[in-house]
Amino acid sequence: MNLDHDDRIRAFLADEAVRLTSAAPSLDQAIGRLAPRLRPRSRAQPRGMTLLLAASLLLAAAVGATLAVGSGLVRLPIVNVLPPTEAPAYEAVFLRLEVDGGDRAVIVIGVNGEGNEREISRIPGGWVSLDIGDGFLAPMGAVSTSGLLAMASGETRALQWRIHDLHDPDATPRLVAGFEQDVEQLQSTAYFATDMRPSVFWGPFDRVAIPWYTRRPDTLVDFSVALVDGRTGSATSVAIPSALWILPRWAGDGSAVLLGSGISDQTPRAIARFDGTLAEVDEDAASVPACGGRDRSGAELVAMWDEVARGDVDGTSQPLAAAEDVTFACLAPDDRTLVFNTATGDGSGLVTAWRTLVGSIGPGGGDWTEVEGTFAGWMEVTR
Amino acid sequence: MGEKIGSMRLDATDATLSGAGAVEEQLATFFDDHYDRMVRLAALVCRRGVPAEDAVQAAMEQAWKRRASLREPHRLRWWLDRIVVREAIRMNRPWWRLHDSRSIDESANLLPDPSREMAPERLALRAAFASLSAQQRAAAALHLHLGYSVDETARLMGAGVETTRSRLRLARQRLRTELAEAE
Repeated sequence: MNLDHDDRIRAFLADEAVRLTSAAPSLDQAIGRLAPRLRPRSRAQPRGMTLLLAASLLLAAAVGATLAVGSGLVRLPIVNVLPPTEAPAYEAVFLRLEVDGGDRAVIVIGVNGEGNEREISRIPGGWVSLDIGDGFLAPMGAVSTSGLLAMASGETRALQWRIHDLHDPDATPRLVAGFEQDVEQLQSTAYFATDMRPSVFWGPFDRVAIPWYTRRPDTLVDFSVALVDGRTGSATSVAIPSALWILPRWAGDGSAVLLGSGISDQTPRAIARFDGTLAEVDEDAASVPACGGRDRSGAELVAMWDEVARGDVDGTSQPLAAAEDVTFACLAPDDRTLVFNTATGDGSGLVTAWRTLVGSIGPGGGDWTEVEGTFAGWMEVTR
Repeated sequence: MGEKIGSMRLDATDATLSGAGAVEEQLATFFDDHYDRMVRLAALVCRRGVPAEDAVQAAMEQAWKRRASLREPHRLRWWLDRIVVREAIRMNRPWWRLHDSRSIDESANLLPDPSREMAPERLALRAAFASLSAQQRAAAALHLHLGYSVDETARLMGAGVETTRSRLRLARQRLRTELAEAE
């Protein structure tokens, strides 16, 4: 009886496998989609050659200048020497929910590369207090480098987004009008993992994108993306055709959000513009990722199952951190600090806990500090 | 230098990714014998709403970037299946632990396809299979569909043998119940 059942189950699985893959892309199509992501984006000069060239030019310039000044051909101007401007520093921003009876507040925490924490702000009534059995749903939001926090709050079935100024905690948060979301539409992290739809992400000039959807009776959903001016809260929503997928990436001039064709296809296919229209993508135009996935040298941050690595343009990779099941990794704008999320399992493939780690990279780095809360992005701070 | 599989060297530093055609050619050689099986495996593990081809894309990317770590070329099939099944499970992981966690996409999977006549038994099996967890579906797909032993299935999923046995038992139990009720 059971053997007969097993045979029928095997037959069912074989049929299902065929049925489910009848419209799957061919190997050629799959490779056509994959290959561009595996190709180096730029042909960097060999580092040794670049250094040699730079050193030669510097030497020639120094010798030339010395000769010119010494011979009296050139007179150096008298100038006021200003102290060098310090490059900005960045803190990783985390959100923690504090629930006390019927009251709740979101605590905004800043963490530096050494893992030191400070409280930036406390937002009473922020987020939602949704009891999920063994605690409350963790808060989710995204912070701009200028210190604006976009976070939803209200009832779980009708969340509204607000923009909080972390530099002015007493200021009234700006309401983003025009749409509401239920809590199911949001993701556990703001926008960083590639295998999920983004929930909210900042772009240039304090502009923030908030994807949302409406449900249809046939169980499908219609996606839109709200493009919001974070300084005023004014929003323009753009309906996204079902064939397109919102990428966590802005056009470099802040005029549009980029759209791809699928969950793992990061190639821009179209743009959703601030004027409410869709348009073809300009492949040569600069774009800005929601979270640093590439450092200034062009090396790509690669989150694997068991490590975070820096993949250099020459095809080699350099491990940055060993960790199980990395979900996302995000580099600070100054390339100095890394945040990544890792899963802890029970050995059976089931995830029992998620951990978010912060640490400095580069010389002397590699010490990782676990931080409680949800990572929301990077905020510029004075040293 | 790395081991060879066909004309492919398994050495990351040996991959000449310079020409547009070179990458496609190397990928085709690498995945040619395995792609269809990878897609079928991912399709069985993924719930509706999570495209199997996306899991396969992610798996292919992981495999390609990590090909230098494959030390036993004759185990390429096993190695690729391991990556596919883990990527497919990862993509099916619920991001929210809500009480009513069934998504609209999962509910849609239980609906009959109006364009096709379908035997009640098949319909019941499909609904039952869709109701299994991704780990249970993966165990069933590896063991019952692809023919891996229980031990191999456990190692492919990075799980204990007893855990895997338990998953298979629960999956079988669920499917057999549907078969018995359909009789």
